[in-house]
Amino acid sequence: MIINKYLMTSKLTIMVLLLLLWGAGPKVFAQQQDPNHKEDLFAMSLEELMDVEVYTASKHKQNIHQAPASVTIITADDIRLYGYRTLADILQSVRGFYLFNDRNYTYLGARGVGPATDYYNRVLVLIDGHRISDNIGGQTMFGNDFLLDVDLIQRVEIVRGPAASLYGADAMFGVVNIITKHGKDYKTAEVAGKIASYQTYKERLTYGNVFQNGLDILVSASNYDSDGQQLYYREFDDPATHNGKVDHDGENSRNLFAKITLGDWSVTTANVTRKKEIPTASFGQVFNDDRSQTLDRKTLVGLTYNHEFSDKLSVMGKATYNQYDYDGRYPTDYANPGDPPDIQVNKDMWAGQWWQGELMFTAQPSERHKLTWGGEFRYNTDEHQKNWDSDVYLDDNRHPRNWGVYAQDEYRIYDNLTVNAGVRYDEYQTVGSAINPRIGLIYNYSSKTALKLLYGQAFRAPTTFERYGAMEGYQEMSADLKPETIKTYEVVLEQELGKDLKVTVAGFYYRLEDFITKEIDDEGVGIFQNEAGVNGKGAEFEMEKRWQNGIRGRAGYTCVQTELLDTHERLSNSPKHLAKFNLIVPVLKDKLFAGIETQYTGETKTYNGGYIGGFGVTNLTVTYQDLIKNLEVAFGLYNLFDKKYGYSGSGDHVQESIEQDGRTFAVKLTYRF
Amino acid sequence: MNNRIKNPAVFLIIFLWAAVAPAKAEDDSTAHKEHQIKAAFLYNIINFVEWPEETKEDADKPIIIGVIGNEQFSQAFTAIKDKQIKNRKVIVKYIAGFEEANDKSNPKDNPDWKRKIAELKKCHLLMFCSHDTKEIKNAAEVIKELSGSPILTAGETSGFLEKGGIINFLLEDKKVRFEINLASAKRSQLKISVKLLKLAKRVIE
Repeated sequence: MIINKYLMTSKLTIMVLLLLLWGAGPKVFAQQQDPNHKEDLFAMSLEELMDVEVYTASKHKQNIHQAPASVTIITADDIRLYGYRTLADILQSVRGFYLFNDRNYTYLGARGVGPATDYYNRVLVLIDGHRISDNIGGQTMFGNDFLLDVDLIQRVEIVRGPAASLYGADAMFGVVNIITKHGKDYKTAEVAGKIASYQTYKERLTYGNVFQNGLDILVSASNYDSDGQQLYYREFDDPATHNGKVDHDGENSRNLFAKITLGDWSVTTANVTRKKEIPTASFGQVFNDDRSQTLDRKTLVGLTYNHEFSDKLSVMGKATYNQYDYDGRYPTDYANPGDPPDIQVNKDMWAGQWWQGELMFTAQPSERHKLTWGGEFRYNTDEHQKNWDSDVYLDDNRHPRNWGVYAQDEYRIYDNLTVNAGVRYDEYQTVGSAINPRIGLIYNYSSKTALKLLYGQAFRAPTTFERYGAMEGYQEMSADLKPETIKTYEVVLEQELGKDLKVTVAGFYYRLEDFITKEIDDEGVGIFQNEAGVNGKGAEFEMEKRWQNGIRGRAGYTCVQTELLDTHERLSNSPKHLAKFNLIVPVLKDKLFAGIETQYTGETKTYNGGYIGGFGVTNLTVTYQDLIKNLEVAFGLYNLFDKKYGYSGSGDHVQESIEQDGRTFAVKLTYRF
Repeated sequence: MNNRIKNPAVFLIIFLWAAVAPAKAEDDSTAHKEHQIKAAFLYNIINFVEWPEETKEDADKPIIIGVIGNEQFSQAFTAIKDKQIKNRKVIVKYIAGFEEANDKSNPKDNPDWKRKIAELKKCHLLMFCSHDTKEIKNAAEVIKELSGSPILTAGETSGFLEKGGIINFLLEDKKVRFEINLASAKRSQLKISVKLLKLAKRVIE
């Protein structure tokens, strides 16, 4: 792909102008006061004040400067004012993260490593502390197939760096914990409706309440329908394949959510059903066949128990049930070239079910030590993969178990020097055991400065799909795949300048060994193998700033260089440069807000060795709060400048680059009862 | 390739420029809410305390609320800048220098000490804030220096009343409560209304 230099320059000019505006913010908008709604405490009498509750954040609140990692937080207000439609939109704004989509699923890359050949994301994603990636392919759904409607998210906490010492496998490059809202966040009910490009409609109905005895209930249902757009793929531009045109990009999904909290107990249940039509003819399918689609169904039931025995000892117990069903239909022509077509709809299925239990203790035996220890057990009752049409090509079912124990000590050596050391032991019925330590040194030069030196080890076990998803003619068996291990060294400097500005500078180096990737031989048969390894080194820079009139923004840049140890080549789907820019402007106090963001993704190498040029995407959302009482209207323009861009296909695609949407719009109305 | 490598440098230059651009802003941390409630309490409490000999001249002078230990607390009072207590204007002052006390040195050796104490004596009400979890280690010393002067000393750490402070805030079941040292109040020539004593969780005589 050739980059249009002129477009790049004008895009850059616009980004520069935005940044200048950002710097000039306070001078341009002479408004006063913050946009937060605050009850007038000063109008209350003494008796009334005695009834006001103090708001506290999580029980194990840690000054963000003392956390042994670099943390980013995205709030419900951010999600609303930036017009985030999916978890992918949310994470795309996070420094160091990049998402890519193949018109079927969305995948997450971090620190230069993104899955190019399979479904596994090396970032752990949790909802209210419960794991959600499936037990066959280790996939997390980030699009309209995500378990939650993002309107229900209270906060997203992104913790960078290896966290396997506490969370176990999958937390190689970080942990994303999604915390959902409570019933008390809704007066009673809320209804939302959205219309967007390509005949897209989304509706949501939410009910939330908290009762006298403290019982808190939140229930919600959402429905999403989209016709998708008509697409053109030049790789299929031939009269035999409809001249490359395909009108089969529709999607619909339904989300159900319920959460009940009472005292120390909380139950979160979420369900998603999602159907996506596939336009790309991936996996060698027949082009432009109406039957090509995937259907995913996921259910999560998570129970959490939190109890404080005293201010020195507390316990947390978790029990999780997960179910995942995937049903893919792939019309394939089995005829030999030249013969009349023999099209059969190939059926691909995954059925996963698993139970998980965890117990974690936190103790503060002395002022200087904070200990955390616990254990986790997982039983996979179903790991069923099947592929068939007139023949059965794959029918594999497994029920492995794994467990782990961990311990961590946060030792405050001096008032301004903390050592955070942890270790975890995991045992997998499939691949044996692993020990992963983590150590962090946090030096608080002042309450506004933190220098962190971090070392961590993490691993991830090969997935059942990678090892046993073998089908003759498509993929070979790799039963003896070894786990990947990673060692990361990181230096982070966080500095608060005044009360309005926070700067973070970080440098990291990691060595990922036994990197699992799929090699495809000359006959087109793939096999998952442990490669020699991947080296990654990079630097990050981020600034977060708030102004008196409520304008707030964030700008971040990440530079990563990845290298395959044996060939010294750069990893595919690994952008060297990533830049993110976010700004919220309260145009009219408490009434009108503008949320603008730009993300630049640098040049990446495709799976086939070609290159996709860098591109910048800008999104703008304008929100009108209380247009009439309790009614909010939001207008969104995504890919504002109609930039043409695409993501690398994988070995399963004929297309080298899969083009993404141009400019689209959305109008959303939300009404509170 | 060269085009793209230039971009990051441009970003970096602009970031630095934005950092230099001056601006003030608010801190939105959640702990702020607790301080706002306490500030609202103090705003009310002043109405139930009588300072000695309030002459006609005094009625024109503003009431001065001093804050030491945590600047965020003084910001919690921004809402009352235009309001009045007892028909007098209110001034909220943050007096720096009492944040991180050094145990090892004797505060009186510090030449600024006398000057700072003189500043504190100008206040009608003085709030001793705990910075994160650190107390103002010289609190007892400061209270001793102010003893006898008509200053309503308020704090938010356990043992504040025992050090000689007059009002102390504490949290009970996520709600703010206060306790009163009546003996200290008397020594400072301050009269505390019965209504306030009734609402207090604990009163020391």
